Amino acid sequence: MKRAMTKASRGRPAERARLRTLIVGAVLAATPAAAEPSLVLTREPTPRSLRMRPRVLAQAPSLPPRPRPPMPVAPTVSATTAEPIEGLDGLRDVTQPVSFSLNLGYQVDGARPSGRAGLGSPAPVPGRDYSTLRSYGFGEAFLSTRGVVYSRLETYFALRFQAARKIVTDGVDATGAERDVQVTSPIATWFERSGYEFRTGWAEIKDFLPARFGLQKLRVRAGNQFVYGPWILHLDGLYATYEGPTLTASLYGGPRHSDYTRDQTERRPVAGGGSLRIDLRGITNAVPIAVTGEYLTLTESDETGEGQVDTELVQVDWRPRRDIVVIGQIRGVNGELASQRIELRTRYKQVTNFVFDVTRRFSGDWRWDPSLVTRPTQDLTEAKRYLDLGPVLPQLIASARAGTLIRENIDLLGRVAIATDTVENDEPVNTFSAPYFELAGAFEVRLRRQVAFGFSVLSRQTVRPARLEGERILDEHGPIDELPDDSELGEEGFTELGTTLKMTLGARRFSAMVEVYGRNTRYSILYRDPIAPLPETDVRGGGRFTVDAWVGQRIRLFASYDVSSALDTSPDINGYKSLRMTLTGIY
Amino acid sequence: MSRELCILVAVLVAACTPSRRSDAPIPPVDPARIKHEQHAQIPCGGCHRSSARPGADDHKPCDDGECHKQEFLGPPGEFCRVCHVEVTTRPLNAPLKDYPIEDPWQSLPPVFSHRRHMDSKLMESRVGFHVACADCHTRGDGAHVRPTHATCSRCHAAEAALPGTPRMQDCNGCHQGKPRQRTRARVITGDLQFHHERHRTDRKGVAIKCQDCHGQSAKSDLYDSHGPPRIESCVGCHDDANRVPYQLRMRICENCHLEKTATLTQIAPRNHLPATERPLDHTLAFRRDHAEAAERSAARCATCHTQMSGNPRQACDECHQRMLPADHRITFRELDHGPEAAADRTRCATCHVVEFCTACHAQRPRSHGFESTFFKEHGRLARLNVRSCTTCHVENFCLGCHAGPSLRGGR
Repeated sequence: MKRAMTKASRGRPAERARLRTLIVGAVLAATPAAAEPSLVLTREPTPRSLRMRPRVLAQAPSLPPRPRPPMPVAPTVSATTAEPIEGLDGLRDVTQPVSFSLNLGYQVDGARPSGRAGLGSPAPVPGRDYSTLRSYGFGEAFLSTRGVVYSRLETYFALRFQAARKIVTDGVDATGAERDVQVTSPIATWFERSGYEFRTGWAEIKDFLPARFGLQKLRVRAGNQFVYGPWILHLDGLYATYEGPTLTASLYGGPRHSDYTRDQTERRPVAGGGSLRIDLRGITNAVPIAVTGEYLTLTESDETGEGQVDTELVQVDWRPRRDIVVIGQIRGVNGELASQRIELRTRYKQVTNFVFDVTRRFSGDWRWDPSLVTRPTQDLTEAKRYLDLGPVLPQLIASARAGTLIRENIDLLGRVAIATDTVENDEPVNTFSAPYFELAGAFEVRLRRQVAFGFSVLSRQTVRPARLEGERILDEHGPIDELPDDSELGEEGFTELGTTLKMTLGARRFSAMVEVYGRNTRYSILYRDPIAPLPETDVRGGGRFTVDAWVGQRIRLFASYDVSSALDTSPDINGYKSLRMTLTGIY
Repeated sequence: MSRELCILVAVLVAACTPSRRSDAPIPPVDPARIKHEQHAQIPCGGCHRSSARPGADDHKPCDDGECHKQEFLGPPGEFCRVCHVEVTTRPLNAPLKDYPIEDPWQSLPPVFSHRRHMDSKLMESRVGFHVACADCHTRGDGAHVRPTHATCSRCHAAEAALPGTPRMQDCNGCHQGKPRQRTRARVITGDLQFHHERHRTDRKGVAIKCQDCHGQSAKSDLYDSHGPPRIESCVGCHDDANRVPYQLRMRICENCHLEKTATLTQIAPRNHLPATERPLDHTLAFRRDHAEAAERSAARCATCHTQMSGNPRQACDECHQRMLPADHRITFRELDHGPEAAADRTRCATCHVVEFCTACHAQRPRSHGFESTFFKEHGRLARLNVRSCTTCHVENFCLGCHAGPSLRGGR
């Protein structure tokens, strides 16, 4: 029976297959086979969004596009485009006709006496020898306009003012007459005075000439302004420039504006100069080179006693790729070669940077800037009215800096520098031009969205002629001791460590930072004093606490408290303290 | 010291680096899959007669006499695996593979240029009209979909007869090349959630345009170059109070991520931060070397640094006269700036003219005291660092007392 059932079950599929074949054959016979395969697609109903947009409709005026807000990576905001920014928290719209910012502040500096004597003086008496506290108010105002009164006109004003209370005490002058004598500040800075000064104030007009001959590319700026040529020049004058795609030329001139002092108001040196830049990239990208030539002349200065100084600069800027720049620069002062510099800058993915530069200075270079090149003979007892770092020695300085951002949260920076003098044997060595080796690094890690930890280190080791124990000058108390050689003076090296802890609820909302740092300085030991030996190192530290809070989008409150540890070099005080508070309003 | 520092840095970097996720290797091409190159002699339409899978019509046309008739007449075997997941004696129950097949390999990838299709001028000049994103990516009911052949056929079907466009019959017009790995950019991966339907309008009802997020699509010529939306485009809206309510701000991770961020390695990266935060490129290195970036776009600086004019030329002073470098602490101001000026005076001169230095160095320091005892007792301080004297006093001033060649050491 089982076999019979099996047989029967085998027979049924065969019958079915035969029947299926017959049906298929009949259908095939009834339907002619397609000679060519045809592509018949099931058409979807036309969606309501599909509109065959004719040319006319495409050109019909549409609603103004909503501007995209600038992104953190590369905002496309430009002062030259009329793309407005609206509805963006905290960011300023630089295209607004008027922008105004007012900053009011109050600062207190202090140095509390320790009751001990200083290294060069007995224990100071507060109020007579120095002031324990010094306070002053200050303010800054910034105003910029764009297209006000005249559409082609831009202006910018920066004003600084401050009010400091002068602390005086009774004293006598050289003739013995009684008079008020100002008490020395706890912290010596220039903030002693009251008054205001226009730091910057200029008006610029552009695109005001007809387009013929390319004149619309002329731009003229007049007033108190900074000019960036061979030197960062602050002048009250005129700056005119023509900016084309290939050719950029500028001329400027005017009396030099002195910062932080009014000493030069009587007879200020006049600065004048010009630049010419030819950028071949404006013609062809095959030769990505720009050549710049600059000239600056500064007339005689009564203050420094410096005569006329002429400075020439030639710079070649080669950009083989968008993120690779090689800059070669030669500067001459009064017809002599003063410095040579070559710099390589590369960038990768916006956050990885590498900079390598080599600078070679020659003895004819500025001591500090063009107002001081060759210092004339001075009065024997004259204190340096201008900070004089001595004659420039031929020097070669090479440095490399590299930084990157790992996983967008670990910020790394490394820096190394080496400086060596190329002094001939008969040239004097200066304490300010000692060879050195520098190593520095820093990193910052965000531990949480709002919290970041940072660490930094800086070490600079200076090469100076060392004196062995027996060669050191014996410090005899009473007689006037021998002075060491100038090149021996100064520190031998220092190492500085710092840590920061930052908390932020948003850069324009609330943020706070605590910073702690320490520094160990080793001085070159030139004297030996068996009775009262001097410390060979100076260890000091400090801390800083800042709070930055915003009230809405227009008002910012900032406070910073800076404090130092006790200082080996100033045992008469317990260190420095400074509290600074500012209130900023933005329009 | 340097050794400990290196160890510390290494430990921190190791701690902050997540365990490396081994990317699963791409599986090889399914060996049972039909090979187009072996069927090159057959016109595409010979197999792809409709949008359905070839062979869906009771194995037609695969079981044609000249093709695979013998395989279909024989017992089920490996040949069945071309379309079926498994071989079974119950043919009607044999499960089918997905069609189109969803594996990392695409048999004949289409050549599709978003750039060309979204170039309004080009489209109008060629075919007389232009299209928008929704024309291809929106279904009749408004749902966002990936376009299919039917979508393309609206314009490329023979009936449309648009000049200068490949016809649907011409399969090679789009499907060129060899099998290659799919490069479809999958942005919504892991624990990320995203709903297109919730992104039609902002909180004020203003439509969110496709290109607000998919701005790169209009620039891509191939799928390979079809980049995903940038996270910055999310930030741009989700930090804008006018467009997004507070509850949906970027800083609330759970709005997009299903898993709560808890570990060190899952900190929101900087590009998730709102535009008001420090920009991505403002690194420690940028603090030192930002001259070129500032020259290139001073207006960009002025959006946050409100004391600036926004004028793109000669504007460095507008920041440098006000903002202090990070190392300008109180001890730097009082004590430590000297060695820095000696080592790198050009750095100082970036902001300070010589009068700035003179303004302080011309003052009588506190260490000199009020009375003239310092004149007699300065030796101890001077011996520690004589250079602190010569910074302000000319050398001859010292030699006035320390005079005579016998007292002057060295050269």
